[in-house]
Amino acid sequence: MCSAQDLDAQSLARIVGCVRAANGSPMSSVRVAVTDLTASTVTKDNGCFSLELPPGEWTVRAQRIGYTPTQAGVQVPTRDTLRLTLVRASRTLPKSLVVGELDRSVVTSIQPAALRQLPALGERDVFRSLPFVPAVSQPNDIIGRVHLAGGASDEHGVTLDGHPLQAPFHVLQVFGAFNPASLDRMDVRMAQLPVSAFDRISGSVDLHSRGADTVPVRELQLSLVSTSAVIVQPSFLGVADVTIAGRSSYVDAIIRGLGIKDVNGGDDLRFPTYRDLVVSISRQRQQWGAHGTYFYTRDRLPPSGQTAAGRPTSGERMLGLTLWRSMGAWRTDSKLSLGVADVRQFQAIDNPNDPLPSTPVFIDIRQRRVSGSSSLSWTGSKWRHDVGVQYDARAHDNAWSLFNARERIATSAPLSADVSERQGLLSVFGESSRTLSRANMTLGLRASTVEGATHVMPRVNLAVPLTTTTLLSFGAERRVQFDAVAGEPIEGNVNPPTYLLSTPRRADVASVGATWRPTTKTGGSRMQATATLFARRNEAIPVLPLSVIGGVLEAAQRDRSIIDTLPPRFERVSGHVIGATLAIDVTTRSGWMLQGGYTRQRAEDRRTGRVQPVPWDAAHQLVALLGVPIGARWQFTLAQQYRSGAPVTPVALRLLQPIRYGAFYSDRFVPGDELSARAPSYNRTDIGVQRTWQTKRREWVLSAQVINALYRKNGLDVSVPGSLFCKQSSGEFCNENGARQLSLPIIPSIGLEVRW
Amino acid sequence: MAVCLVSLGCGASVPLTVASNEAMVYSVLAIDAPFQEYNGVPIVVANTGDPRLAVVLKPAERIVVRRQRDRALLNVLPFTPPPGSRVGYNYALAESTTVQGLGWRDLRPGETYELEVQTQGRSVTGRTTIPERPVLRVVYGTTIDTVFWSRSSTAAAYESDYRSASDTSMLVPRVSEPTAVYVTAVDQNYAAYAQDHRLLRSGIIGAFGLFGSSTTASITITPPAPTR
Repeated sequence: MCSAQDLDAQSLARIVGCVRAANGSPMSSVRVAVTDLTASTVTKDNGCFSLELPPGEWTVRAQRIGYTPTQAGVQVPTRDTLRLTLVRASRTLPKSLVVGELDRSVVTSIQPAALRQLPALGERDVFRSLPFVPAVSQPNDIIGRVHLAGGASDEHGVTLDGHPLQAPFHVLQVFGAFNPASLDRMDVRMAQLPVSAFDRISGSVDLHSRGADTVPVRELQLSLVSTSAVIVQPSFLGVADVTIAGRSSYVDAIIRGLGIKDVNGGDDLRFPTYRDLVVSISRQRQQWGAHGTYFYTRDRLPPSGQTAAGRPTSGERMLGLTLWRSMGAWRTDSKLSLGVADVRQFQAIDNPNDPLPSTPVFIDIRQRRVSGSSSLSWTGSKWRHDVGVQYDARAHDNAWSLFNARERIATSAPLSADVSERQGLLSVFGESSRTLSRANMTLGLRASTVEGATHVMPRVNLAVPLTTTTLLSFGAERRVQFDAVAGEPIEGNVNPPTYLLSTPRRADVASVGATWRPTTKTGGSRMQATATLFARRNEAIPVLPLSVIGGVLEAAQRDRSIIDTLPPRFERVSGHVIGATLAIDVTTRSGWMLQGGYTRQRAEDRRTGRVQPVPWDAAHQLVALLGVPIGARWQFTLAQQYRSGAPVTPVALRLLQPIRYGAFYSDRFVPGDELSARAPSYNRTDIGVQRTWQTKRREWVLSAQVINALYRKNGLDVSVPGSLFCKQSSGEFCNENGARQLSLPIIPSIGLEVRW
Repeated sequence: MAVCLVSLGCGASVPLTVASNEAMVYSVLAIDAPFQEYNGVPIVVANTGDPRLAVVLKPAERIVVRRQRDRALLNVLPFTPPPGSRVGYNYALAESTTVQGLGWRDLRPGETYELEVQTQGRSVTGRTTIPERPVLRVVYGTTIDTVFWSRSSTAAAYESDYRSASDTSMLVPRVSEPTAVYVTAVDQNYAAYAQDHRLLRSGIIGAFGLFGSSTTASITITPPAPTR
């Protein structure tokens, strides 16, 4: 054996190895480390890795989230390829919601299985767990959209098995369209995006469908809201591994069956029914593999008012195919994605207590996307090269008017649009990685062409193990994005149209991260701490002009020049984001778990010569998840979220304004200095207890939880970023106390799950 | 920052609302608006006060509305909202002609009307010309019908319930039963006030608020009979 300090003084020899699953498929993103040495790496897409080691006998250890770590001895030098096999971990509940087997300053993974520990509001939702990742926030307790690292909610992408999704939400964006049991994990990337995914400027949420276990798995979950089922069948008919996960809701039928009335005592309480389905078919061999993914989601809202075009509906379908082939050091990957997202709604919204006539909603959105890519990689002793080409064809048809919202919600978002757009985006990319002693350096370049203009995006990454327990990483890259949503989505309404941009928004991103993970014995206590600094400079970010900000809804409706010329009415602004996060993850041998993160951030835009915070800026964010075992089978969980209030525009004056044919009027709130005040901070505490026991081939989990246990009034009405800090229908909400009036109550619940 | 962390809350640095003490007068002379019998033509004389609270109604020492052409007075009646009522106005035009003056049913398109108010030591004046009534017609389509209307020289803008195809037409999704649709022509004061949310006054001098007018026209869309 030799110490780490001796490494440089000796001649190193290269070993090559590959990690595969029990069914033989290659496993990427597996962390491979050498016991007693600093040397470590991560497997590539073909499951293989290489390490430079001094002569001697060493133990190589491979580990990945959700799998039992494995290790093997190797005598260096050797010409043999080291082969390691990872087996899925037993279905014991994991301790950590957020896990960082990889470099957590770059990628944070969430295991949906761990969501079972988190006290849930209604359905368990992978997107609802995202605020427990540092630098990620959600607007309030209702809206499910997220902001990554100070970015707007339309600046990150969501992918499933590497295929882009457009609207993976249910119930008007309240929660995600994924049965957690259908997913293997969710990776959140905000720094150091791969060169093949530079089309989102604040990061990506990459979902991975559940792969085949070594044994068949059946899961059935029943709740008052929905029923979901998962079937995992390895080597189905001897051909391929198949996973099918579906969910269907019936909450609307329950509401009607129980005779639950709306807040006005009427029968107008309507709730969308929804379904989602994920089908994953995979066939993996030593030299090649194929993977198909199908995603389907559909919401249907009961009709209301004078509807003549069927029930309001929204949803998405996506079919993705991936092929790879490996030939020695060479590997090819090809990907094809076909996606359609649509929203259709033609109806009037009736309020029986409102003497005013109903106003209609007219929505007909259809967004189609076809993406294809092919890449070639070569892995040598010290180098790795990747080159590829990608083509995206998108067609968006947006006919969209939300006149019913105009008197109820103050927002910067326009309420009408009628635009059809087409876009073809051709990109080529290349990347080279070089192992330099203990460090690894990557240089990448991507060029995208749209409408005759070419945009070049360079990238550099450096990872340096400082000690046996500390890893330092640095990344700098340029990102561009060729689409934008016109303003933040409005609470209680569908996502507004996505516009295609020929002049992309741009961002230069730099990050420095340090991960410290003390060496621990197998089965002992674990600890990991991560500190990250990130900075982003924005250019050409499309925002709505000031004339549409501040609740000028009547104006937006009447001034057709505003409505009909979108998106050219976008203003292009610059800005920046500066932030720092500190995350800690501790699990003791006795079963205690503490996971927390603090984020300090400032996100600002420069509009009309003024620097002002962006509407979703949260200066401070603190999250903590504490798990305490009670006896052998009970576990207590405490989940705490805090973030400082978002910027809002204060009210300078209150007047009256005409509505509806001039015969009626409502309050007119004249805005003060834009975004010069802060909304009240968000603060929520959830607690839960679980009891787990196993009978013959079955696992039972009894849970009891209390959401918002300390009854913090966080406010639900004031959720439109940047809007006037008032609820227009009632002026009493124009202050901090009023803003908190409508909030999530204390919600106790119990649950029972059975798995076999 | 440490204080924020310990207290788990950082207060707003800028007040969310700013109190003011300004006179406000609001009235729109509306003709043929649906459900107009609820309010008639109200006139609000008030003080802006604290934005967190509703505007504070204030008495007028003198309030006059007259037709410019012949100086004919309109009958302005004080109105006391019933206790607990959500109605928020303190004056209204009488419905019909009496010896005290004309009523709101006597308002006519094309006529100009003047307002004079003495309140809170201020003299407030205003003037508006009621726009001509648009003439509507329907062109039936397969799934969407189009309603067209005539352009009026005295109308500054039009308000429609449905998505517009131009400034004189709107698209109406096929309805399942006969449905009345409405188009409102508004005067210059009303249009300017609605299109600029930072505009504090339009059509009046001496106070915040609006003195405008509108004329509404309607047409009934009849769905085609089902084919066999």
